[in-house]
Amino acid sequence: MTDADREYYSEVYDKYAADLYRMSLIYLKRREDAEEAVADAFVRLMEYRPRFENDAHEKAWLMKTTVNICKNLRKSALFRRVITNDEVLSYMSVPEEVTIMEEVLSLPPEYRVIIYMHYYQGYKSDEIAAILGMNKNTVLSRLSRGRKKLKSILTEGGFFYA
Amino acid sequence: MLNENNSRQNEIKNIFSKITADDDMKERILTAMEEKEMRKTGLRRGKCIIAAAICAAVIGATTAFAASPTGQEALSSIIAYFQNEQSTPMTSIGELAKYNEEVGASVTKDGLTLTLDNVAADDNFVHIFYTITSETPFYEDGNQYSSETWDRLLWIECGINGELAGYSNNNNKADSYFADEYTYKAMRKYNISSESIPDNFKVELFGEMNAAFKKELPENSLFNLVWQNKVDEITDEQKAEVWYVCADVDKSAAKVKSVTRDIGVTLDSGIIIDKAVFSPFGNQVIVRTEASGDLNQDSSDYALSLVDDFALFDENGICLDILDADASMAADGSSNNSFEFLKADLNTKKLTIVPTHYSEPKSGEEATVIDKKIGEYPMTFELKDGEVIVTDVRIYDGRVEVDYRIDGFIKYGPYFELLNDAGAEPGGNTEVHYDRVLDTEVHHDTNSYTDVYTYDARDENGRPIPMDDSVSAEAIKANFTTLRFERINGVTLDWDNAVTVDLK
Repeated sequence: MTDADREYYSEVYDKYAADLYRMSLIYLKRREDAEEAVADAFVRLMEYRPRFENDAHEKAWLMKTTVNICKNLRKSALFRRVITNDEVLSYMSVPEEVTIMEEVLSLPPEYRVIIYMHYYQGYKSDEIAAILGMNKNTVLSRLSRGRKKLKSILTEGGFFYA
Repeated sequence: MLNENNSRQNEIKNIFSKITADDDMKERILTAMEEKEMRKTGLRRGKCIIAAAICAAVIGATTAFAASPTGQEALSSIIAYFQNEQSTPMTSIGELAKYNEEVGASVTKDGLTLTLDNVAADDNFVHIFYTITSETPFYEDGNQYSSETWDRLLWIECGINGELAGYSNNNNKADSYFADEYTYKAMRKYNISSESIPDNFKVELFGEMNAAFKKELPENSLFNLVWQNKVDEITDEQKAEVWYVCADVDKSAAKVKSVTRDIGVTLDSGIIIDKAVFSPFGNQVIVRTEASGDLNQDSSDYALSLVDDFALFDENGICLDILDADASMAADGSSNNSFEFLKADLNTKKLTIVPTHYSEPKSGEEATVIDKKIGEYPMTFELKDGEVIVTDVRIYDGRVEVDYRIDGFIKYGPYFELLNDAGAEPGGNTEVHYDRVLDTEVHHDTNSYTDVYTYDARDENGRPIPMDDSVSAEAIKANFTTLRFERINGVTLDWDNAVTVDLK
């Protein structure tokens, strides 16, 4: 890797790695595996060097690639199992945050990613469908399930005005 | 309303933002990239589970009946859905065809017609088939993936006996495709195994234009009210606002039974296997864990059991394949999940539940990796407790399919890697990025599987772009030489604590 390459990947990392890591951790629940997913996405970026038209394109490519890696990681070996929430919850600082995050984590992984992309990244459902290569109805359906569950905890828990 | 939505979004954003990568991750990743040492071996370390008391009991058995068989037209309608190559088989088509009920109820509004085609139901699953047709094309020039296409479709929810389907259980599935530019066909497979649905039940489909979901729904919209469980019964006014069809389904007239057996076995891990449902649509065990403690306790004090840490065997010692499911667990450790399993039917006499445990192997023995040259089949990958038999590998333009079956205990099924002689992925080039997406098709009729690896290239808008020659069948064949099977070591069957349940 040349110095110029390293500088380029460093810049890409600074722009997107935090978001990719969050998404991977929400999906996989383990720091070690989330880091592996992000690292693998960067390795693919290095291997394929796709041409991006703009930052949005670059980000969408990285997110899609990372989700696919997460999906395949989960398919491999022992990943088809429930893993404790501890490593994700360790980031939360107050009980209310723990409660909400636990509800998010109790959803299946594909739902969690959609909730993350919608509520954190601000993507619309058709954008999520495009990035994930998924039927928009599926995105909407999963979003609605997640939203329904979150709405329940947020309103019942008194964290929001209902 | 707007403030509420903003508040909710901000709060959730705030919670997600708490997750941060550590400062050293960047250096680790850049270094790994430089050294090209990223391993993709799939090695994983498991987590120990906390032991609890064990007890076993056979409580009893109940019998229910599958849906009524119907005429040839209804059968052909079901089969027609799956004859389209875009469809994904989820249940034995032959069994679906036997137990489905043709409905044909439809409603037309604003140029769109929603038709409830068929319902096929038993105690395990309710299958809903529906079609949305449009007077004007959903899309033009073959572009199915534009926003405009999705905006013209209906977003569908389903009620089963007044309860919103698909929200209270795992293992629900959906499939859909455009049969042509005017016709969208879809099916939903709802898992009802942990619910009590009577023989006569009501199915309601209601749809809303997708365009409405570009923004938050009005608080008093039917969809919002339904999601909040604020609708006891959908009024005629509400029905008129949406695309609404319903049907009364009678699943009592079936000739062939599905059978529910209460199991009531608690494993030492705390996993409670409540019941098993043997069904032509797919057998399931219903598994739960109970709340395990105060959320604020130190994490080690509340054992989040691994909810699928068990294997199933029949009276002949045949291991029953347990399929992957989107299992989830509530925050307090309680869970209620269903796991589908193969190789059993109504005639299965006994079910032996064997706990499985994971202990971390010695360094250097974490995984078994077996490479075999493709070309001659069957190709057998042997492991300690079972084997995976690859019966065929087919290579198409942009796609590789691997057929296999499992004999014995192979937890989570196989995970293959496709390699060339240099140990890299075959196919693809450096100009276009191809993801290889893995999907597993389950063939319920033959208790076998097909792993489908699809080379997936998309543009910046997520639209598929044409495959190039680097992923043609010829190009893949020229490179793809080796099938790699990887399996983590350390998973053992705990026969000393196995429990056998007499099902008769």
